[in-house]
Amino acid sequence: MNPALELVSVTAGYGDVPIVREFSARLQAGSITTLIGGNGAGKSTLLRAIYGTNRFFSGQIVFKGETIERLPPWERLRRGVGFVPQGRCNFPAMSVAENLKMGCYTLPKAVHDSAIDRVTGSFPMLRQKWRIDAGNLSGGEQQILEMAMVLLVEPKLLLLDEPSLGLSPKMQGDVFTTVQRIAAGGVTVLVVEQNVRGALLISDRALVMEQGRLFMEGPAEEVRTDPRIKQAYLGGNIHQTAA
Amino acid sequence: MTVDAVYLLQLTLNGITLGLIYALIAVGLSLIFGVMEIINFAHGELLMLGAFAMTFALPVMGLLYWPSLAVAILAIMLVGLVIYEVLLARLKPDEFERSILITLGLSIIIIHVMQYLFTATPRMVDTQYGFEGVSIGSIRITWTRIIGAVAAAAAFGGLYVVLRHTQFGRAMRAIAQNREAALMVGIRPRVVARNAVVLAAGLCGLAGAAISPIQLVTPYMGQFLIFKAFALVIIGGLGNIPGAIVAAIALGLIESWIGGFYEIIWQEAAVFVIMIAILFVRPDGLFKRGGMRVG
Repeated sequence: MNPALELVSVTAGYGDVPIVREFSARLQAGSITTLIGGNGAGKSTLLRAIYGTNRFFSGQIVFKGETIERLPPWERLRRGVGFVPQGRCNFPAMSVAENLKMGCYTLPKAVHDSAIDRVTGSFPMLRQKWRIDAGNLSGGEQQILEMAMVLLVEPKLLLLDEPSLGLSPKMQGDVFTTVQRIAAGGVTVLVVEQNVRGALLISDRALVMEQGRLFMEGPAEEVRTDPRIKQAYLGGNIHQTAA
Repeated sequence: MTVDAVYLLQLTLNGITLGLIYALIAVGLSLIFGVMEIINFAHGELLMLGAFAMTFALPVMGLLYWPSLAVAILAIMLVGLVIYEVLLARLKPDEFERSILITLGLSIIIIHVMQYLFTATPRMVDTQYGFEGVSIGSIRITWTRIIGAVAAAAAFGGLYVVLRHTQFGRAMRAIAQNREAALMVGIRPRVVARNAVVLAAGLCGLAGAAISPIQLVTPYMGQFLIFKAFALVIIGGLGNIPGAIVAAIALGLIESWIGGFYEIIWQEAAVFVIMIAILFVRPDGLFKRGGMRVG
């Protein structure tokens, strides 16, 4: 089976500074992959590199057989790469309705209404908060809204940066369930999560990043029970760098 | 001093027209600031160019007001497009200092080129309406003032619809509210920035064309306007378009009243005294950022 996304020796960062270095990985279509790593390991940088919102130094990003690393973000979105950045990434002074309209930005006008109907069918909460400004929604509602804004274009690959950050345990569970449902629809998901345990439980595979490089990869279950990972990310004490 | 009610009403109506024209400038400035995070210091010069465009278009159009107005607006939109493509498109998002030097330099260059080409001699603009107007009792308002005010008000109505109800306009508010979210939904920042600059230039063109039959047209007419417009944008609550409009109309009224009751020489200074005082008392402006926010 062909991978939905293949990263070949990706080096990326900001300004003149590479953060992610020679990172290679393959994501199978319809799978959920968790990206694990300490603070500053380069997890968000890698997601941004895949969507094209930071500086790409070298390597290749192959999505559905096409190299996309030189394309601007809107072209990647058109090809089916969706990215939900970390924390409150919406238009706070616009209503939920307007935010969803903006989510349709790259779609032809004729399909806006049907796309919004489809997404609000999955997230009925959005209809209830239709006229409320996004900035006045709770953190969890904003997270759902942001995912919905990207799902409007039916991406084939969804990049999620800390979707459960700052949410109540109950809301975190809801977000994880939502992610599972999205993947069940055939969408490949790459997620960065501070709730490593929760993310690993819904994931097929895990990638572990240390100082910008791939440190370990494998089935989520295996990574979850690996003593080094347990020690470092799953309630262990002092983070022992093994890179 | 006794205040003549009719005289006061006359000054008030003149002030509203002036205020609406200030508002056109301030709103455009606010729009560009929201989308590009730069202050366009050449904004007043776009108004001046609009006024000159009107002076040249009118004789060609047989003094017909509306076709000349349309020509002036289109001409200044084109100027805006050139300014964006040649200069502003080269700015990176965090180059605020460079943007000041570039737009300020551009403003000075435009003023002097216009003076070289057309001299500093003030021009009077004649339209099909001449000095005709309507008289209500002993109040008289010229048609050019009324039309200027109505055209400005109509422009705000149009702008409201565009920003609120079209993807074209919504994208401008979107970028101003959250740049990263704009990228997330596939907005192309440079396209939207170009649209905002061209739209704002069109508002300047309208303002310049509308003001030209009311004031003398000179290469310097836009020079201090940018500072007033800048102050209005801040007093109105940065990026708050209705706030900027209200502040602009208030400014027009204050100027008109001061100019009418005291020596005209106090007009400019008094306006800036009031604006500085307001900014000390309310550093974030008089109105909250909200609703139609583009900043």
